[in-house]
Amino acid sequence: MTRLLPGAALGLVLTQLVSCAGGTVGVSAGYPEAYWDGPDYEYYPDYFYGPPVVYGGWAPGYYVAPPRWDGHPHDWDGHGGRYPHGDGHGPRFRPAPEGRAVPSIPSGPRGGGMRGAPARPR
Amino acid sequence: MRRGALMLLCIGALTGLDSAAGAGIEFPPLLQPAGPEHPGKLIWAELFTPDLNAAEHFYGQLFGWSFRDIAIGQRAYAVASLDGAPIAGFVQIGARRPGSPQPAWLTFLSVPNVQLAGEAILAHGGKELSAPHAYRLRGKQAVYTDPQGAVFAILNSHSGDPPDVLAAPGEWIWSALVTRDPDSGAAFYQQVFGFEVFPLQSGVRGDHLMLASEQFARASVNPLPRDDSQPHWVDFVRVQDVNRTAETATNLGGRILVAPHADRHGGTVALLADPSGAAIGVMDWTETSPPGAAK
Repeated sequence: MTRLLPGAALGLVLTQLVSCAGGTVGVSAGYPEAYWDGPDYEYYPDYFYGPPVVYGGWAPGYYVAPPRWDGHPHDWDGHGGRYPHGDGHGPRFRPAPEGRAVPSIPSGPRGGGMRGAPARPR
Repeated sequence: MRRGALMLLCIGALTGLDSAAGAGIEFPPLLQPAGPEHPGKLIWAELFTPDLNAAEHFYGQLFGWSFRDIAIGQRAYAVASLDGAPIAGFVQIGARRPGSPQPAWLTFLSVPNVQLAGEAILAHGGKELSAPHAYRLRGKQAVYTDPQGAVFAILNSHSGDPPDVLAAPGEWIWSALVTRDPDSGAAFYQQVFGFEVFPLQSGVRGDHLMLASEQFARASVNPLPRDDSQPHWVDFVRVQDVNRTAETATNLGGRILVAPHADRHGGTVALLADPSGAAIGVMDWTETSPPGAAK
């Protein structure tokens, strides 16, 4: 009987430790549940399966850059009833209200902090 | 005596296991100090690459990014930073072979509520690739495809989003969705993110559209120029000299997919591939001010 006691004690300690280790999963350390789903140990980001993306093929006149604040693009037509056109299938977007100036990208100066504070063009 | 030593060894091993397991993945916050959110804005990107070291060398030389490795289980992951601010994540994927995932950049757009945005995405024909999940410091994120198949991620940053200031060289400045049907593509993102949509005329293969939120342009939506491709997002980094950047990229083992050229608004853009084939845009941008803003 006395020879069994150390083994039982060891088993009890091991059970407690394993229980504690498992219990760490899901503990939010003071954050609300929605704020943190608990620790993760793997990250499986294999999203780009399937038919490959073939990049490029932008012919001259294929524009991607944003407009600038200094006015409409020369060929901006204020919608003019052309949009949305599409192929007649699928949902169509709602164009911005007529007369709305085309916005550009943020151009304000950098403020303090690691990334700087925003400066809004209002 | 030996039994006691064995017990201590077991306790030590389990305590170590507990400590390591408790650490988990710890992605850094996007901002320090925290700031406001900017829904619809490109706020983060992750590169999936089969050669993390080669990618770090390439992007470090090209944009001046520095890297810090963090543990994410079986994968290698590095946080890219510019001047101490996290700017992108680099994820190791398996070596390229038939059937393996394609090296690519994943675009993260800001949303105020990942759960609600995810429901809207599914309701409008998108598909979930990775369910919403909250990371302690970074925030809650999920990955989807839009109805035409372009992969993108949504993120509600716990520390807020990078502020709406002019991007510095080496920072994200723009995004483009290249898709088969720009009209329905824009409609989908408008329904999910609440974008304003501005049609802009383009000279080749029809017109393109611009998505805006909070009175700022956020992304363009362009027609897919190649029938053999799949819809995709392309993110752009601001550089000071696109031609020089393209030349540096080729010297570093990258390729030029679209040669530097002037865009309609006076800037120069190019599309580059890193050594693994992942595509990234570069754009120069001279400062302009909005109407009425103090110079």
